[in-house]
Amino acid sequence: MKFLVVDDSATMRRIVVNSLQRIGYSDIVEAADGAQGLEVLDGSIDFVITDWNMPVMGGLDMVRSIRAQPDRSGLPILMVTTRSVREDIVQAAQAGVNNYVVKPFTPQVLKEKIDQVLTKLRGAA
Amino acid sequence: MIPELASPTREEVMADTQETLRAVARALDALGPLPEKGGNGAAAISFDAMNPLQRLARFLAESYGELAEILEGLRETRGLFRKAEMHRLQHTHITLQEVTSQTEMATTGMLDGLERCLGLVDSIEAAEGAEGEDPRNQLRDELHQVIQHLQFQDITAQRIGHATGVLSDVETRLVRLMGTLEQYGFAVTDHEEEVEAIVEQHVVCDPNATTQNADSRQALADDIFA
Repeated sequence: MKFLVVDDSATMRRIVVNSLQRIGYSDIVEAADGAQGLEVLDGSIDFVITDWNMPVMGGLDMVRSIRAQPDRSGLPILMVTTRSVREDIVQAAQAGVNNYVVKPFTPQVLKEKIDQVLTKLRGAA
Repeated sequence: MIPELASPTREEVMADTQETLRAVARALDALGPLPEKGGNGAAAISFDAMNPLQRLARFLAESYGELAEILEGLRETRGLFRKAEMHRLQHTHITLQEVTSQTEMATTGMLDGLERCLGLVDSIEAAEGAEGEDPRNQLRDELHQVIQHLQFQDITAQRIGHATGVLSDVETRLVRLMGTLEQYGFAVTDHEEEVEAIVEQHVVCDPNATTQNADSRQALADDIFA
């Protein structure tokens, strides 16, 4: 499974990549903001993990842009962010995010959410 | 068709104003000595005893004094903004940016070291082909946990980014205010180096970013996505 990790913080990208490797995923590409994420996004990406607050294009706008593409409406997207007030989480859900991880997170929580998304999507298919 | 009138230059306005003031001064001179406000001298006339023109003269004289004080106050305020606040704000702004960048560099260095340690543990394990529970597994877990703790860099950067944004906003407002004062002629006479606002791309940061209560905040997200 190939992951796209989008975060403007180089530190956070490395931590997410490290966590993914620890839970068994090694095919990973990275992007520093939503616009770069959309550029990198091609048919080979199976799962997107994105931050919310980023320059140029934020995570929420990137998610909306992905969901506006009919062929990518079912692409699994996980939001990993510091934003944790109810209104923000609801907004992310409405934009089309499949699951939500609050920073700081542990690799176990990341795995749990990825598994939940994949299980739900497999069930819906 | 009414011919379009050119806007007067600042010099023309100043010259007109000075000419008007001179005309007012001549008119006041013609009225005799200016009555002292509450004065006890022989020339002092009580306000009630003044004729309307003398009252107007007193009013104009007092207003002029007050206006002069206000203008002086505005000049001083502008000078203070420029000399102190702008430099201090810019210094704070730059300091905050340096903190963010130094934190990023420090965490990158720590991540490099930790990842080298993890690789080392892997290579030791591969060489020895150890079986069963090994203290090196514990070491690996510990190292991974340290890496997770480094998430503080992104979280604190969010807070610092928000503070920087507020400072930039205040700075922009001060520059705009100074521009307005300059427009009306309240220039500072010294030739200090001009201070320009730092214009940066606006980045949305989370002012509530925290390392605390991750479990309860995650539980709220889980409820919503359940």
